[in-house]
Amino acid sequence: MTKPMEEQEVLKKIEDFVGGELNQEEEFQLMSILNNNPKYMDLLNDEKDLAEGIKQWSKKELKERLQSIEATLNPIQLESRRSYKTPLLAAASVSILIALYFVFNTITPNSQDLFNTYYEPYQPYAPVTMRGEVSDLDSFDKAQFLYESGEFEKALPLYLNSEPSDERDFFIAQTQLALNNVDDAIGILENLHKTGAHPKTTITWFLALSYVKTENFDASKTLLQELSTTDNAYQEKAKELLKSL
Amino acid sequence: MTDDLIIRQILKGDYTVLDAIYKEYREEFCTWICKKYGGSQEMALDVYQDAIIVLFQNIKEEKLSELTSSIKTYLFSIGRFKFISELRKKKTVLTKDGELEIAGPGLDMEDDRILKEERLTQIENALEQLGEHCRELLKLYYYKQLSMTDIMIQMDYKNTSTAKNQKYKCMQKLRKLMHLK
Repeated sequence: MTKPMEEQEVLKKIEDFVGGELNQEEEFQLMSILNNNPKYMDLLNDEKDLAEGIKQWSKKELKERLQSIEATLNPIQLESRRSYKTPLLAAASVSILIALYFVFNTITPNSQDLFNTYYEPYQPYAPVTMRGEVSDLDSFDKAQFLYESGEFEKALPLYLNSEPSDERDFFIAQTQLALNNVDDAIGILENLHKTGAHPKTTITWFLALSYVKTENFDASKTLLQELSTTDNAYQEKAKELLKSL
Repeated sequence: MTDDLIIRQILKGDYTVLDAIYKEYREEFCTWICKKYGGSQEMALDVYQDAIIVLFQNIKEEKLSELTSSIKTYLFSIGRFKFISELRKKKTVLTKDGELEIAGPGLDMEDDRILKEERLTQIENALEQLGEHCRELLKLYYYKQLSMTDIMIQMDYKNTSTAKNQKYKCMQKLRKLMHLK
């Protein structure tokens, strides 16, 4: 049986939304439709799952491609330990090792690489709750919706226009981080950290990461130490990052 | 090939440049990582392949706009972190008695993770049944994040509307295979 046209159209809009092809006005229109028909929220969640599944499958396919390339290459001959028959040979080897030390030392990651390795935009646990018509939604709700969709540039002005609160400041900091405005993010996170705002460990983790990016390693280490000695979601990552600093 | 060119090619979704990078640094990476941390060669190769995939994703997601080191340095640093992380996992998963240690997130989070993994496996199985043409199209759109114009060119469609329509049909097929609406 053919589905009603309206539902097909909504599905197309949801697909475009997940693919990042809607402009802000279209996104708000879609929010209004989702809001008036909660069953469409399931369609949105299904669509997000399918997109993630496709990415996962593509990743596996790329891995198989690399494995098949590997199968065509000569095995790697790892150098074995040798016994040196003459002092001259040993001295030559030491020189090579020193040279290798300097070569490989250049491979040590810098602060930017470390940040890129550990940073992922914060994802709220609960999805944005839709209430009322789209015109009823306040700036914060709209900003949250855009934030979750990865539309950080569009989300920022809406956050800035919303009612002041710790939650709002937390998301402004997260948005600034996602937009690479680390100094702005640090100012807000420092304040939230100082006042013990919620979510405490998340604030500490992102502040520590921001310090890594700005090469304030001492400050970062202090916070990572704090995270690695208590039971929390960032404990393992904090320990790992701490060892890399 | 310069790093800029490599990034441009990867942004176009060109896997052949990944093949070239893979071959170029594979031996150097494995020798370096095994000497430094003492893991097996198989593990080093596995981690190296994963590092190449992360490199691809980070470039596609434009996380490398501020890369201050070379692609090689960045690739090696990703590989190093992954390798250390793998070594730690191997050490911590088994206790001295050889039993699995339940650590980290609580059981609820673990249940969620398992459910999510099951769901992703179902989607992967559905994709296997979808047909090569649709799989390729969906990969170009969702994973390689190409524009409809680029997809039109790569898949040889008449115009972007045809490409978009085809993508919609493929998603419909996938939903049907997943018994979704």
